[in-house]
Amino acid sequence: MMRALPCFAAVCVIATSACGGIELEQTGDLPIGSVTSERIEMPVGLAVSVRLKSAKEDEESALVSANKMIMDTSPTGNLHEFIVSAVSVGSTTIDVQVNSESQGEIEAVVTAYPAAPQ
Amino acid sequence: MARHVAPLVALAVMGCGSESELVRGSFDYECVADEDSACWGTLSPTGVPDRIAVGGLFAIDYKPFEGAPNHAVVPVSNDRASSNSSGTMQLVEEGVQALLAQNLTTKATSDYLVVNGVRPADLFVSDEQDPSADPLPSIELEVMMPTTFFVRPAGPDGATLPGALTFTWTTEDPMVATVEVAMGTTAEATITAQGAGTTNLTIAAGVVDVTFAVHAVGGMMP
Repeated sequence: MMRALPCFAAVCVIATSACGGIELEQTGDLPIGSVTSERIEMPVGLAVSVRLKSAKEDEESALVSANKMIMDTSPTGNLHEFIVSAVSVGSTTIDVQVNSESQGEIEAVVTAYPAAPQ
Repeated sequence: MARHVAPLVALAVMGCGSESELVRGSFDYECVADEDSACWGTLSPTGVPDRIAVGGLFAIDYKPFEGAPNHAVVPVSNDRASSNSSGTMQLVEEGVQALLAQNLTTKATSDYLVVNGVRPADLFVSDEQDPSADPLPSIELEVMMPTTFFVRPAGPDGATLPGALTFTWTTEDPMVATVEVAMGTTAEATITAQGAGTTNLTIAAGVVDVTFAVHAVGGMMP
């Protein structure tokens, strides 16, 4: 039984919110890019609002970027809602915290803005 | 020049469409210089234009629906837009990008807005200070009759773009025509034909420029 646990845990990490982990919802428009519970990707200069659905009403949440110079986060004042901003090209991670405890990390990728068609 | 907000008619001509993403307040466009044709007019303002000239200066004010209006509007990335301490901004690249309304007290970002930078493709010259005035195809002047003209940037689709650019005006032959740029705005200049003939007038703003043939009639040939 103990041997099976690490395997189960690995499956749980690979899977999404079904395992009771992070559930992130995009709440604002994002003209280019994508938001999932595992990864946020958008071109430099854009921003998107997201809500941490997996956090309860009586909990406190935070999104903490490992590198704010690449992708930054800011609370909006609405419960569990944040604005994620693509500051400069690169990759980093965002730590999702509930009541100051890490729930896991989201991959955060900022790409170059696509060139206009000639 | 004191800032003033863009009149409704001017913004309607340019396309008024950018809105607050979180709908927690309102963003208003402000002209920071007289060169911005978005403020050529007298009616009351509303909204933010859906396109702004790359390289043009402007400002945006944010008023929350609740609480004190204690916000600064800043671009997400200095790679694509710049802003100074007085809130004047400039888009340095084409395409969409976000501007954030940051609460100066709580440091939270209350709202955000997506704007679209468009690189000017043309400069329109008219004899009226009106963002919807038909551009002149050529300029004809009576000798020694000063005439005032106005210039504004336009996008690839021919629509006037908001944003204050700096313009230069140059005549090829000052013996035929001279140009005097107005005090306080480079978007306005008075051209005086000095003698009959034809010369070229070039108006430039950054990487875009236009050249007109100026025909001066009457008087003596130089």
